[in-house]
Amino acid sequence: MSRTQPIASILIAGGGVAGSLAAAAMRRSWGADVAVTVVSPGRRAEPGAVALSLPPLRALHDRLRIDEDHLVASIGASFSLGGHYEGWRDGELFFPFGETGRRIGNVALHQQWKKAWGRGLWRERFAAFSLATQAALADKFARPPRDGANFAPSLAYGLHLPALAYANYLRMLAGRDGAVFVTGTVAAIERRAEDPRLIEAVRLEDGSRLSADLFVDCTGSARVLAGGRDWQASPFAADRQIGFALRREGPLSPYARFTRFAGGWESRAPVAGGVGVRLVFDSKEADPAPRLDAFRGRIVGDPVEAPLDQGALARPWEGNCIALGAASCCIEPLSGLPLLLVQGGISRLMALFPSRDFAGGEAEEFNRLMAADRASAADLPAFLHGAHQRPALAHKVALFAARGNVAGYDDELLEDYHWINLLLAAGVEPESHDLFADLLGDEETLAQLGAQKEAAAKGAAAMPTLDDFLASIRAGRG
Amino acid sequence: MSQSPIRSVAIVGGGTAGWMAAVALSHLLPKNAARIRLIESEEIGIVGVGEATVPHIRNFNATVGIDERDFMRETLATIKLGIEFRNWNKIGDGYFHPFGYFGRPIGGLAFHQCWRRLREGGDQTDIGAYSVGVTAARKRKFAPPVSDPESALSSYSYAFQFDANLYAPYLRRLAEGRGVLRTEGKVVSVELGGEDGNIQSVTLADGQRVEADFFIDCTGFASLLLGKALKTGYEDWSRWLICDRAVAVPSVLEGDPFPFTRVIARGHGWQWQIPLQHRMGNGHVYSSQFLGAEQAANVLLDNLPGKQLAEPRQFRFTAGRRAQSWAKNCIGVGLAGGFLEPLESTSIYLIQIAVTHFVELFPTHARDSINRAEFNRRMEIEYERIRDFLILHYKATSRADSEFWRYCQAMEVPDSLAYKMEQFTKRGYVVPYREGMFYPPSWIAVCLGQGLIPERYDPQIDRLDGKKLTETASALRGLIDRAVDSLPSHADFLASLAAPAA
Repeated sequence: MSRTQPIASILIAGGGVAGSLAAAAMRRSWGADVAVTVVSPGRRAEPGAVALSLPPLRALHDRLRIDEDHLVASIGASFSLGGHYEGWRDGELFFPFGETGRRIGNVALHQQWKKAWGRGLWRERFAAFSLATQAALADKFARPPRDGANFAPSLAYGLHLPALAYANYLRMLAGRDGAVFVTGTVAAIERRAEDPRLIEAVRLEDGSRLSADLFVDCTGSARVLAGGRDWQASPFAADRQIGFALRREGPLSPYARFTRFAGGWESRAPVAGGVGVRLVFDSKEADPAPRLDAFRGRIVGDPVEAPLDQGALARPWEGNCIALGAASCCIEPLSGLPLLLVQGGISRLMALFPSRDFAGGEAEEFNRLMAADRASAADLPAFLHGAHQRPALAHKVALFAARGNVAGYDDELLEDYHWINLLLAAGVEPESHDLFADLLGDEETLAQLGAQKEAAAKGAAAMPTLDDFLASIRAGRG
Repeated sequence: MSQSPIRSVAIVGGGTAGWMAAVALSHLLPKNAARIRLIESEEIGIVGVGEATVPHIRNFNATVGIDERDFMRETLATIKLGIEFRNWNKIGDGYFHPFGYFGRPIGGLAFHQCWRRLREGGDQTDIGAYSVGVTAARKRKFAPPVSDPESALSSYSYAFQFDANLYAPYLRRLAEGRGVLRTEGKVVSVELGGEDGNIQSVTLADGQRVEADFFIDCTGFASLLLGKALKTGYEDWSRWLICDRAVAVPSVLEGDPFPFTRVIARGHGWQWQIPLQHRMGNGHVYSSQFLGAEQAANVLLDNLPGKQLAEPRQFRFTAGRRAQSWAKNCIGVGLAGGFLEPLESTSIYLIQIAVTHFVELFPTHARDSINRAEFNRRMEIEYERIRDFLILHYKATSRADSEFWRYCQAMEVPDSLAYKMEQFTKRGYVVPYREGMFYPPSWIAVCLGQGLIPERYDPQIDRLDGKKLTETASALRGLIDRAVDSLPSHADFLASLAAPAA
């Protein structure tokens, strides 16, 4: 093996959440071995922009040694146990994060539940076992203990992160680890003479020139470095979004609301200082004016409208340039999908970190995995909209409707238990149950179901309200 | 009780597949859910020639309530820690494919990548020295692994090698004890009918007609129901797996049985040695394109590790699988559903996984097509994963000493495998997948053993201090050596089976 030259410098274009998170992760992993520079124009005001995360972000935060209490208290973030969906599929549903209850014997809880429900022996919905659902709907929250002895994994949680403050926090963190932040706008890209697929340097509007071995494009739909070379539009119709912030009213809820209206939907993500609202709609179908009117008097600042350019780059990694976040894939911001895709891209880039000759087959594998992530992420909006379902998703839903089994595929973003939670919450009830559930007698099943339901109810009752929990964090007792 | 559309299941064919299916269904299906009947003929022998397995067999045994020690006593079983490959990359070399991990991550980075860097620095230590399974196999040691993940003795797993001629009767006793009805007789015809063309019944040589709602075809290569009656096509994979014959013979066991399966590449195929408690199972898998039956038998007899105990038996087969594992109201289990050569001991695994998936996907109504589609999807993944892994052994070789090996070296392989080989060769990256057989350690063992040494390693490894890495690796080898030395010998472990469990 000829010794390969290591990557010595990375230039990240874009200083939003994706760029700052990437910078923090690179510096944390590589330390002084790799110089990280982030170029971004001045900060754009994005009123009410809240980044929603799913439970896996916690692992990345741990790797970055982020003290979650400090983060939450500093930026006014809040916690989330799931999402409340109204107007989708069967009307109203709560989709909790994390596994619901525990297996009984060797059999999934929902199979035992279905057995008892199908025989008329049990009259409560599956959500009765969900600690997350019970707690969320009562506006309660407590962090599961680290050792996972009691609640976990049934209480996996995500965060509602005010986007600008979160990006600034990550920036501070990356800066402390040695990343350099440059204010400027990329005006031109210089390519390598010997291989034009590779970027040599970028020139900023002020004339300065920044070269690097590896370039990361986190500039969102501008795709300043990656360009639109192989952009593939998504079949989903929503093409516009409007973001704004609301003054807070009433107690804080540990979940986001996604409410559908004709031609679009709106999300409301509560954070400590208010509520971030986003309207996502098809400009040919929907008139957002009445929706905005409904919030009149509570809106802080001016709503900002922007295009939602749904689609993806077929090859987010080309040469020495890697697109992350919306530059790579733009999807309806349901649940925590966009940030999950950013996180997936960062962890894949770390696992496939190249050498300077880019000859280790990394781009091909990265692009394959990101394509799988995108297809898998689109399953959630496809299921909720009941449109554009790929055959693999249609099969998954139909199989579940038969005997409650989950068809597993190789590369999936959502876990099997997410699908169990979601499908049951959406009213996709299996026709029958897994016969393995019959290895346990009905009486024993009922006793176990009763115990798990009680544990969920008691667990939720024992939790503080989310407001109290956040207050205790701010007081340093979280 | 939800009304099942399947009130009766007929298993056609005994042998390992038939009786495994019978035990599993009688144990896992709810009581009285379906009447289970097995039809077999004493005239038809079973193919079983001393079976080696993979660790999943232990889940099967546990699920159906089989006590491991009792099972080992009854089937004269030995322990299997993995497979020893000889002459596969080059004549004279060898490697182990253990059940278990190599080393442990250093600084959060994969161990085989660390190993690759050490090798770059001139350290020629075999990666097997970092595996408890390999080290124990080499030293002929065994005790069940411990559950404490901090202990080196938790990093391996094991399977069994047993006498298939004793396993089927053992399973039969269990199945009959659970109410499975055995019918003696040879199937002479299969009756289709109804508007959907389902199998209605099978007729036996004595004229008896056996009807059932569902049929499990365990008729071996004959595939009387799934293949012949339902005309389910066969996907022929013999362009990649060109061995199509085997010859088998038992021999006297010389010395203590070793705790692994040995497979030795020969000029036109390969030879297996599977030690049982009472004898050695031997066979030679070869390609009839290149070698005649008599020559093949001679290769085997010339290389027996002990005195020959019986006349050699010849088998013929075609690598591949039925295009659907489930058609109409019938699934094919075992050889009736497909054949992949026993190089990685996957035959019993495929039986087990088919039966388990079938119970999980038991039809909800008479025209259930969704569970069938899922069963076929799952079995396709299982077969194709194993297929690719087997082809790897032939494709990745430096051997060019015969037409056979030159063909293998030059053949085009499925894209799914070509991509995995390319990714491993470039930087030791193991393409991950969630479904189906063979975890990354297996890919690492066989790729490295077959001579696919990655051209480079993960550049993150250069963050580790070189001197420290050498020390850590050396300490790990020492730890593994000491841990293995503390184990009893495999022979002592086998002797302890006779005594009541401690």
